[in-house]
Amino acid sequence: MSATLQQVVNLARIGFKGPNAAAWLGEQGIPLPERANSWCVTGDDEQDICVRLGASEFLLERGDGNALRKLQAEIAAHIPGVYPVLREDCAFVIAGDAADDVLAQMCNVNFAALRAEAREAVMTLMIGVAVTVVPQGNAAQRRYRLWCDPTFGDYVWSSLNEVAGPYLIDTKSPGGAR
Amino acid sequence: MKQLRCPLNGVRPVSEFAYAGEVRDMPDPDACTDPQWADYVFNRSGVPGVKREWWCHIASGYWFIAERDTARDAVIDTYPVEKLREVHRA
Amino acid sequence: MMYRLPQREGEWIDRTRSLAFTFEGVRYEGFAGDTITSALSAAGVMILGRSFKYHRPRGILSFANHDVNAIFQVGPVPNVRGDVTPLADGMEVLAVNTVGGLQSDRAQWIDRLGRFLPVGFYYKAFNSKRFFPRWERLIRNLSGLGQISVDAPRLQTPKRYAFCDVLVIGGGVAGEAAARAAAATGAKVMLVDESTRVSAHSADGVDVLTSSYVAGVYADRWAAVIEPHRMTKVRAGAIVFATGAIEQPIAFHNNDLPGIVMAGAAQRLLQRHSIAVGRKVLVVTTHRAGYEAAVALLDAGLSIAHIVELNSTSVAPDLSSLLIQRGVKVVVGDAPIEAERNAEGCVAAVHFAGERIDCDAVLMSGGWAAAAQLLLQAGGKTAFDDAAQMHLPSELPAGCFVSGAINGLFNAEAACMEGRTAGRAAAEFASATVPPSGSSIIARSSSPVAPSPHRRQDPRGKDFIDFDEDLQVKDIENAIHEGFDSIELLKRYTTVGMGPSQGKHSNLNAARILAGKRGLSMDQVGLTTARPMYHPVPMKHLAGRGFTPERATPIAPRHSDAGAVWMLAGNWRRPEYYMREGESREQCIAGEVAVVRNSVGLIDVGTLGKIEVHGPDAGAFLDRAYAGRYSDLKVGMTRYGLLLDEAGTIVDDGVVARLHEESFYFTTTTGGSAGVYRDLLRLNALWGLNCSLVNVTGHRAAFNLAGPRSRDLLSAMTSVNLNDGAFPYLGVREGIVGAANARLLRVGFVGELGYEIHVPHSHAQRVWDGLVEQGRKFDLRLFGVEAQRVLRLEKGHFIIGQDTDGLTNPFEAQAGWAVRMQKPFFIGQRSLRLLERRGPRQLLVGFEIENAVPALKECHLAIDNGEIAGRVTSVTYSNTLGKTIGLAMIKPSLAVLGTKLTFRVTDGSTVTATVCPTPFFDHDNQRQKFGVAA
Repeated sequence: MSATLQQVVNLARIGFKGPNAAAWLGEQGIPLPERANSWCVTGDDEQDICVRLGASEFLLERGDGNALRKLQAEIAAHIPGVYPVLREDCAFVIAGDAADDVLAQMCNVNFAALRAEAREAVMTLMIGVAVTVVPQGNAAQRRYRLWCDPTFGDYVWSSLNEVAGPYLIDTKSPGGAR
Repeated sequence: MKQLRCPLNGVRPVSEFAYAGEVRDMPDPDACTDPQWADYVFNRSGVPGVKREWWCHIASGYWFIAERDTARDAVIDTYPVEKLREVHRA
Repeated sequence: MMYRLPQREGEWIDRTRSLAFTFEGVRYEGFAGDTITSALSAAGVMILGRSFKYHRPRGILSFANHDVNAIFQVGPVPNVRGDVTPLADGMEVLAVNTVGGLQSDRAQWIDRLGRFLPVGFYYKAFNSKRFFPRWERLIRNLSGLGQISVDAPRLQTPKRYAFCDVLVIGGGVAGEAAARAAAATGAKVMLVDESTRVSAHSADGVDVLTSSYVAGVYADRWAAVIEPHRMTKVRAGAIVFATGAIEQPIAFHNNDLPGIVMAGAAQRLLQRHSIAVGRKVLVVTTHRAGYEAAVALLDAGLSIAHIVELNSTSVAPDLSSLLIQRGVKVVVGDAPIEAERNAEGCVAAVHFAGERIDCDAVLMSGGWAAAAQLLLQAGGKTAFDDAAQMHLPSELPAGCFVSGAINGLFNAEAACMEGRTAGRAAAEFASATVPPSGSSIIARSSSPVAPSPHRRQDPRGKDFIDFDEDLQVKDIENAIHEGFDSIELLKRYTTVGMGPSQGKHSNLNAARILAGKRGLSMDQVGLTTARPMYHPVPMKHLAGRGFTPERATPIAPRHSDAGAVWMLAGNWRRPEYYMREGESREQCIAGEVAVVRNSVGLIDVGTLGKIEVHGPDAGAFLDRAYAGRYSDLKVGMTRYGLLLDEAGTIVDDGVVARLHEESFYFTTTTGGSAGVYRDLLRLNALWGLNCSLVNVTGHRAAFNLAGPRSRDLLSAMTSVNLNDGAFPYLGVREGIVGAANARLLRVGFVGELGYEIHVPHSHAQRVWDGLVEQGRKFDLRLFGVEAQRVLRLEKGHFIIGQDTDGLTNPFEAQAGWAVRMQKPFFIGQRSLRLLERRGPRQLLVGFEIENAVPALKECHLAIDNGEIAGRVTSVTYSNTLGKTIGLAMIKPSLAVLGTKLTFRVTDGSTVTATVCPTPFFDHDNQRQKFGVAA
């Protein structure tokens, strides 16, 4: 059993919220998840994603920042019913067959039972901190993307390392989400 | 630990939720008497029975309504706040 | 004496692996697969410990972890449970509860004083306070189980969560059948058993946890599973309680002598560890189980001296005649009176009414108590079943199922069948999208047992009911005579069932005695509740690995480098002040204050809550939520915000900035940010206005650059026009600072020209570094929370939660100017109307004292005519002003300018202060509005 932990720093990130956010993002050609609390791929692989948080809030993360900068420029013109959300989160990736064991020591959500194809996004409390967790990969190769408030970043990162310590084969910081 | 079904996030342990008391109708501030207003502000019913309560899923900031039987310590139903407003209009 | 038999089929020990250990300093050997207790027994060690009260020698009783006779100290670890703890090479085992060793325990004299230690002894003897400390010391030294080593290393014990469809508690015949049947339906099944092995395994699709037990079952099928090295909190879709039943002892004089064991203990010793309980075995029974044990022992080649059944007609005539055929003498309708001890203190014979029977081991089988503790915790109910002579499950909570001996089934085939049914039902319950509301009790056919036999009371006592607490039959009876005749009172007065085993082998017999004495039925008597934990749990398991959320602004490393002395503010760490070589705390703070007044200072205020509200109704929302008016606020301007609750009490404050027609950005206090955001979300959901809230508290860093030179400094780093005309006091501008998109707010909290600079978290360090770098030519200093407190106090600004409390309204805090009573509605308005009419009960005023008064602290009382008239809420010596200044909450009659206030300080002396106007410094706020010429 092994796990890897990574801090994600190479991805651009932006958030939108509001009653018209879904319609407007659709007009901008961004693929959107249909259900609340789910995610979809917006680029070539599972790195570029759009997460729908609740009904009317979206988190976009991409390797190529240009597309997001374009959205940012558009929104600066104050689109009715679409509000930008500053996303300076700390982002992590936990992968490996021990990933579920690591999460089970920190969070009371049954991540192992989530089906990969359902593409669910989970908002929960982990070690006392609000986090968003997106399971990726497949049953054999599970990978979790995790976001938290950046001011909790050091605490979450050091706790992850402490819990995952016995399983760690490679801790990269910084790294990517791929 | 008890569980609660959040209409947005599904079944979660109660430690993921915050509680804000019973849903209570505010009397019209301009029409009510001082005693009526004081009763609204300060008095709460502790009588066991079915209560409509405000609950918040902390991680998502999602507020919803839970109907809870405090005599049996059982949650009967949970639903979005919009439904509460519909009930009010009706 | 016990001894090891030659190798037997199915034994749990590995005879090729010898393990050496010591007990009380003597070296012994056991095998891999032994527990501490079994290894000692195999070596012929009969006395394992001393009893709790009388220090009587004790040996194996249950060999099932149900009694305290076999608790040891192993190295530094106390309370090691020998019945279940695997033997390990090199273990150093000590008996507990002895004074100077097990064999020559110097406290054994207490046994002979037994008649002077009546039930309720503590209550009767300790009503004198004078002698209590001496008694306490004596008893503390005589009782207790083991020594705690204060030098033991701290181990981080992991805790984890786990989930399953069906949790099966108990891996006996019924539990195993239930687990397999549930797994066969495709359910995820977890089986927990105390033993080191069970026959179900992962190949059956069952997640098996051995050497583990469920310590408690809580709401919504939430179980605490104690594994050897951690606790697992299991959420189960359904639970099958196959927890079995606990064999009960029989009361007779000296029934606690080593060598007298439960029938089940003898069978477990034999089957698992190939240990014979003795060479000449006497069985005393009221239940079929006694006969079955005799058959098992006979089959293994042991010699059965006698079987004595206490019932008048046999409960197992078939086994009785079988045993008679095999040459065993069976007596029905007799009862043991007294056990006789040999030179070593172990059992040598038992006296009956008719005869004296020589033996070196006695098996007791006094019926069964259902192990329903966990089921009861889960919300189940039991009722006494006369046929089974047990409390059996009568009501099961939703999703809970029972099978096997807990349900009165002692027949393996029947238990297996019932287990399968329960397992399938549990799996079905767990998989149902809408779970059925209840679960029914499966029909049972209990093994016949005669009613409990009459126990004659022996005037000499020592006929033990509770082996943990050393309680005898007469203790129970005396307590009943003294009027403690309800089961709850009886328990508390005698402490029956309050030992580590929580009455697993004593509650049922105590209830029987009570029922007999009072002529009540068992259901009328009832049972006390066995609460979690089912077995004692090591504290390290309960504590587990701790997580304490800590928040840090992105500037935290810079603060450390600058010598910050940290203080806690909620879960944030903030610099209280910055330590300077050769300066005291007070000097450092005074220096930080001075630099803000004279040049420029920089403080990290990133801990402030930061919230945005967007949408057509954003202004209307703030008008309803806050006490001020914001719908008429000009874009590019800020206004103070006061948040009240429905009672009109101040709960939070901050600055509200209008960035755009439909976008506001506002701050909250550090401590209030999470709660305020959550409350505002609720109001937004309730009111249904067209606006959205965004919490950017952690995503935006914030600094306050304050002082006469702040504009000069900032202008070098930004393209924003900082001239008063273009960016007036209380304005807000968005622009670039350094390379970051910043929001600049002109605020006046510390009373100087100042800019709050709000930048994205990821840019914060660079902007901070740039400000510090640019600040060199202005002698910029970083200032901490303490300096800010002094600066704001010089301006007379209150801090919510320090200068106000849970009852303070805006009028009392002299903040009526921040309230717009003429608005149609806002939270707290209706209460304020009432409070405005009633007038204030207290008022927050400024006071001054001409000299320094270090003894005057916050919370010191104002005294007026010998009565309490208020309290100091903030006080400091102001170097800027050269006097002591402060805020006090006092009764309105004293809140008149020029009034002399009398404060009483800690040593009882008084200090006189004068009520004075605020702000204390720069009364017209010229400095913050226009700055001053440097």
